[in-house]
Amino acid sequence: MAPGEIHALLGENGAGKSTLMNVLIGLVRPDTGSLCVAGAEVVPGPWSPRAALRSGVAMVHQHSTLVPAMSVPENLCFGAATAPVWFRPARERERVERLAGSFGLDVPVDARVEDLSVGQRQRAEILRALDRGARVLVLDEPTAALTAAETRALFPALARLRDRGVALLFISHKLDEIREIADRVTVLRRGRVEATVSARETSATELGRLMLGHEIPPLARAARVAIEGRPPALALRDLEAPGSREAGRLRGLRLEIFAGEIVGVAGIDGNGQRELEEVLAGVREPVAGEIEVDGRRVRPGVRSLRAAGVAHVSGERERGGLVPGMSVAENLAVKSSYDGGRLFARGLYRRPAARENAIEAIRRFGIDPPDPDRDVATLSGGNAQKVAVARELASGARVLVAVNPTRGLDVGSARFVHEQILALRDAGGAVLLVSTELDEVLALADRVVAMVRGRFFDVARDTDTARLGAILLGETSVGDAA
Amino acid sequence: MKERLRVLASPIAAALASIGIAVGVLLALGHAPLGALEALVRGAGGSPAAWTGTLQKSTPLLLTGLAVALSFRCGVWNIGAEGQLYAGALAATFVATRWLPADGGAWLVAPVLVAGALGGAGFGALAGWLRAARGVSEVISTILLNFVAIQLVAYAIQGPLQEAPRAYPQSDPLPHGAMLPALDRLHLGVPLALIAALVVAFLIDRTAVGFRLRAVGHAPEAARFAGLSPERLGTLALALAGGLAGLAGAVELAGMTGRLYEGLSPGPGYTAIAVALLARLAPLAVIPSALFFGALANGALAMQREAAIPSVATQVVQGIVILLSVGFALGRLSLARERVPSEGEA
Amino acid sequence: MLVRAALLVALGCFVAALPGCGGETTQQTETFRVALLTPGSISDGGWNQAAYDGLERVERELGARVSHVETKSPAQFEEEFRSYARDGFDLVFGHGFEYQEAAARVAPSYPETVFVTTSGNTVLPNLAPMVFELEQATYLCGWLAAKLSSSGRLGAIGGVDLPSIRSTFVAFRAGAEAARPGVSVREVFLGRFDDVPAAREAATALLDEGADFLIHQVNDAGRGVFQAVQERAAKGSRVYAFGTNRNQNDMAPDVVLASAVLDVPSAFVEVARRVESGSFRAEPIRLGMGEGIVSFVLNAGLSGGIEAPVLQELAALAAKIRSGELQVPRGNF
Repeated sequence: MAPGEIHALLGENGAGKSTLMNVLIGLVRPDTGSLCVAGAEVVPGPWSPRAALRSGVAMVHQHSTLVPAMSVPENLCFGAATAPVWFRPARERERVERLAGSFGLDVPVDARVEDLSVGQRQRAEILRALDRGARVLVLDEPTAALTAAETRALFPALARLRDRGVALLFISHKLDEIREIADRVTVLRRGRVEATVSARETSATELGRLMLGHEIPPLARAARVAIEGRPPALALRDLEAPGSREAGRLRGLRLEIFAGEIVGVAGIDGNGQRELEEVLAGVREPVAGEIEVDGRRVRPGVRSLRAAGVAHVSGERERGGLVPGMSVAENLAVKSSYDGGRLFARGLYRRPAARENAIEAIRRFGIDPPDPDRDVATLSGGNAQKVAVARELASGARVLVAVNPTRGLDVGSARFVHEQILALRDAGGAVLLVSTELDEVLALADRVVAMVRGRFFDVARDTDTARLGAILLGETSVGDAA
Repeated sequence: MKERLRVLASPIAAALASIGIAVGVLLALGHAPLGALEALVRGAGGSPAAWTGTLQKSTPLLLTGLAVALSFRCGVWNIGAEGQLYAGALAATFVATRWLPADGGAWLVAPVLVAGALGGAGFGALAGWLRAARGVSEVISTILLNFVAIQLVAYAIQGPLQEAPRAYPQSDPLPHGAMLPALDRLHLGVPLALIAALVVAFLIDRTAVGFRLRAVGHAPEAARFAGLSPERLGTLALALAGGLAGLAGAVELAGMTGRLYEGLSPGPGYTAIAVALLARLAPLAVIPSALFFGALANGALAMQREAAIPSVATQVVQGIVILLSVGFALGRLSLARERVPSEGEA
Repeated sequence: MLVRAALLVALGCFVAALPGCGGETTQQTETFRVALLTPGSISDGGWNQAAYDGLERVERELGARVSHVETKSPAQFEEEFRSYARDGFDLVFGHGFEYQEAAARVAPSYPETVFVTTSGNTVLPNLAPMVFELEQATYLCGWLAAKLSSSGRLGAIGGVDLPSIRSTFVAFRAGAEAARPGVSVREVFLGRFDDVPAAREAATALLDEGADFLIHQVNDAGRGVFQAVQERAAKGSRVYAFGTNRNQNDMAPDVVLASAVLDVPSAFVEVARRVESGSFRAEPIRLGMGEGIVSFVLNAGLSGGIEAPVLQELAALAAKIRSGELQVPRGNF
């Protein structure tokens, strides 16, 4: 990598990106080989996070590592080797402002980090790395949690950093972003460098091929097959529920989803998606309104919703009911541990039956490594999600609630999940797809609603992306509550 | 298989290595280490009588160790085995000295043990209820309830449960039939505790309830999304743990002392945490772990008796051995974790 | 690597110790051997330390070989008694009433060993409690208080309401009655032994009621009693207190008139001497003023204010108690 370069790192889940990153920032010592920073060979040699920082390698994590209750200047001083003994607020604030200005990283200096937006936090995080003298920045999926607008704001800032001579290692799953911002792309596959190519001169298809080893055929989708005339497979009737924040409060959600259709809920994080997910997963009690499945009222609660045939897949492992520390076989069984099913006959956990069940699921869904006794915490994101999908689909559910189902997954795994969702629809299932990825919603959904501040808004079929973006930002009240 | 051996070897290595360090400590305290350690080892298992003592001391440690292991496995940080033990002993004493006929036969053992288990379970469930209904951290509540139980016992033996002559702060003796039958002073509690270990292992690994408890223990939020109630299962775990600890109290009472005294358990409840951690929370591993701690306690007494090491010095040695072995075992635990690929290998 | 080395060392220790693992050994030796079980640390500055001091004096004065174990729980008592008995010890002390149950279980199997518990009431051919007759001294306290009292009201402050505590007050009352029939003695129990402020409050309340002599049985919380009496004395009242268990005369030399003193270490020596000489009998070993274990110690700084006839009568009474001519009443326990 050259100074003043944005270098993208691309690879499937499990291709070795994390490991490489951990080597770079000193968490993992490489077994063999060498590592040079700014011309000096640092490995072999004593290599640790501290040493990495000293040589100017810093990482910007996917999740904020700032102290929420402190302001940005405080965070920058906190734990810094060069921090002054006495913290002088005015002086530090001025210093941070100067630093921020010189890199074009706009950050509020007075607010506490917990009150900042995701994008602002990320800028603060970058600022901290620079403040500590970083010349090589490792950015781990910096756009995964950003809205489109925030992403657009981030890229010029990254470009400015590059122009100031900082080397940026940019890790992302999003091919178009990589093509937009990166100079060169290194594709990793199974722990090896597959290729290093110019970002702009290589097509997305080519990058996908390098990453997966084969071309990605376009997603095939059949025409809509929704069967109307029967009661909706899933209906929300004036659903209201408290939110963990005010914006997330559900304010009278009304929606009908029929068998054979996918309804996409687009929205920016924090507008009630989590609350909606929790209500439909059964862990958040609605204060008003009803949930109906096939025209029958369902009592809110995980078990009753599941008994009514509602399955749930989430982009976050724990919210998806994946229990880290338990094996694949156990995770496939966990949701039937209370209904005395085949795997739990007569109050006993039938381990052999659960393993057989897991072996079957592993075969069907291509879970890798094919080991029913493996702890799901050690599976890659894509394979863990396959376990979750396998469990939810095996229950024979006719209704699927999928919330950011491909978050953090590589292209291949995401595609697998999409195919499963489409297959369920084609088989007459109903899917509620809640996603902050607009592309995902538009690609899969037969019908789209926007979720803004706990309300649904109908989105007309021909709405273009820009207009949809405006709706999501709540700038115009286009369309009325659905 | 090799991995299995390694896992097994680490606690044993830890235990042995820490004994090696104890030599240094004894030297530093100015005592002849070899004689002292010889007394320790001989006192712990050098004769049939020593084995009897070790087994007797291991039994309450095994039961309370199981209680801690069970609750920790379920993600419940139960520091209250001590209090649950006292609650069990108190309930058992009440039933034995106030309800049961003094001239009853050997059948009296059953209600006494059941009362102990139920007393402990109720006490554990109390902390569970506070946690589930009021969100009180079980760490705090179980620690505080320890003091409640200790004071309750003190009150009972100076008040309602005091012996009939009212001379000393102790309960009436248990009816003869309520005492655990013993074979050469190895009372029924010893095999009972071993059976309890098997039952707990079976419960955790092979039953639906144990499965749910484990799921909650690993990740309460994930378990909640999977349809399990961390609150209810946490309460259940505390009740089960309390039952085991309460049984330990009843066993000490009906197997050893025959009367309820203050200080019936000077720390098995706390030592139990070390026992469980050394066993890495595996119920069957609690058996050797409890045996080790029991042997250590027994050997420490022999060190005082035969090598004239003052009790404070034996306590230092005991403490160091415990600290090192548990620390070692836990250290290995984290090393073992590092070897597997980290989460979300992106 | 380090682990492996440590393992080898430790394993070596085990193996080296193994040949020592014989069967049960019953050693017969010429020397008199005495063991002590205490329920707590011998550095507690009180109950257990006094017993250990006694054991050390037994070693010094009788040339005995001694051994001590701090038992952690009543569940350990029996096994420790047994270990000592098996090792052929001649005398094993269990320092507390709570040892009698376990001792009674072990004693029949080891008739060669004598078991003695500190207080208690269980007696077997080779098991007896030692009972301290502190009552003899508190009787004298009561007698002197009643003689000197101007109000005719006395007070007694106890910690926990235990029979042994109550018994000393029974004797105090009896002594007072003997000196002055119709005298009033008010008893108050605090429920604990370490609460100085509570002891002080209780003492103040008794003084308010007109009591002018106070005795206490609250161990070191007696400080609170003395403080209250000192405050009252500073206001010009003629009020006094008695110390108990150890000589507390110097704790408040201006108001502590005398102390009922118990010499626990000497008691151990006395019992050991009896067992060694074969004069042990299966009955409670009563140790009082006659044996020099209990004594009544006047505060020399204050005794000058007592009229000579009273002092003479007091001395005569003490002599009667020592000789056994006068049996001091005590609580039944």
